[in-house]
Amino acid sequence: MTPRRRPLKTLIRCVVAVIAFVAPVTAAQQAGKPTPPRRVTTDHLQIATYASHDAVAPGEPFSIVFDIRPRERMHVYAPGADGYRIITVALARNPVLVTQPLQYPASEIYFFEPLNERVPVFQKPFRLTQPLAVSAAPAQRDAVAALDAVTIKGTLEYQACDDRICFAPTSVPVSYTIRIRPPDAARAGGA
Amino acid sequence: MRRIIIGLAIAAAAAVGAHAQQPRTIITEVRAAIAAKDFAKGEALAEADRAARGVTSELIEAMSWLARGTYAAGQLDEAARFSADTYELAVDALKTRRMEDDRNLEIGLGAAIEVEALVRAARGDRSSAVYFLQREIEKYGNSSVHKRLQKNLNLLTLEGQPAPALDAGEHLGPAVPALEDLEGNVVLLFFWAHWCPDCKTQAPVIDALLQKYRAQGLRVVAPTQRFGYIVRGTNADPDAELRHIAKVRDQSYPFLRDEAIPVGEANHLRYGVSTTPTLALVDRQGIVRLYRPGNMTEADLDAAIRKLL
Repeated sequence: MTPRRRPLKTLIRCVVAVIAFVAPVTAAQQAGKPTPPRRVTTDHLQIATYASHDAVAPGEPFSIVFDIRPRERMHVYAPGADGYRIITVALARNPVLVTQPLQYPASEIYFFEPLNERVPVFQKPFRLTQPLAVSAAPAQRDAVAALDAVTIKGTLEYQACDDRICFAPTSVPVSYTIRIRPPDAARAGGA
Repeated sequence: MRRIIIGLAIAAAAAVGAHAQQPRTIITEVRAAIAAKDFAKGEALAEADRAARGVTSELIEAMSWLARGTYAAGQLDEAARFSADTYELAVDALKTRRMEDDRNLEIGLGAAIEVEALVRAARGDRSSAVYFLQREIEKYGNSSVHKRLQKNLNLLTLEGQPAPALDAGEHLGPAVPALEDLEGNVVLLFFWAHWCPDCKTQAPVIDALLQKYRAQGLRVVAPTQRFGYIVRGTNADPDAELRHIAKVRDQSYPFLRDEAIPVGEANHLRYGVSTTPTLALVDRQGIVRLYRPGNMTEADLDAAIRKLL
């Protein structure tokens, strides 16, 4: 009997080894990778935007990222710049999405000598991060379950000036489609 | 007849031979892709060349062809991206190379600036296009691209053209006069925005010149428009924003209380104004003689007005 069991044991070991090798890869694939960046060039900014995950489970946090490089001499207004249009992300309302406040990096002060004004601005490369999750709330469970993917639409809103002139407020439309994975019991319930 | 056929055959062979001898470069390859309207292939070729050989002047020119090709195909977003990328590479290359010694670099930079200006104008942002060209001419005015930039500036500015009619709809202050009714006067159009710090710094200059030359026939019309928000970027309904515009006028532009302020997008569209301040000076015959995005010094604006009075 023993000799006949050895091939079975070997087979089981092989299967376990294959699962051990493949499982993390599959999990990583399921966890999602960033969406390909979309590059947008305006008169004032060079923008690369993407979603941190191309697939998420309900409740799993992810984010929309804007890597922004102001063009030569340009600045845009940062939180605290009273009287100016502060750069922001406006997402279209979507009941299956849970949003957190937009995350800004530290700004710097721009001194506008003619008016003796000190204004917080971004004038070097910076990143805006919009945290999101697909709702895991019981009220949205059926709506989310019916979806294979969710499309997030919105605009990046800002107003730019350089050292001599100001440009009209600008709105850059953006859109991302994220696949929805089945709920992950270990992670669900957060959002 | 036989001689003609033999002659044609020789000519054709010579032409094919000449074509075959034309060296294949990244420029010719990218241009071939553009000719086939395959911009993705052109971009992939340029990226592969960059990975293999780094940023060469030939690559910069090839990228500029992608900017030109996408612009010609009406793909403005792509044209903006390619022209900005080309421009950055060219400016970086100029740190170690002289444009005068490098025809590819000169072509690449000139085309990148040209396409960027054309894209801005095609999007209706004439003042932004003109401003961009003016600043590039400041930088490269002594170089071999100057003529090319100046030609584009001449094409895009409103100078020398009849002044577009003013929209006389909604306004603050006195009614907006028709430009025909102002013929015989010199008219300074001052495009401004309630949130615009540079406009506030231009205000004392215009005030002083209006006082100085009003008796000689200078008139000021100051078009503005709504942007959908007021202080701290708070969204505002049209009435609230109009009240805010009037408040800003009273605080920062008191001399405009007695001048016509058309409020609306139409004038900005007609004059292609997407930057503030923008100044336009119309002569006594109704021709635009100066179209200037950005502030002017009192001396410069004074001289421009005096020429027309």
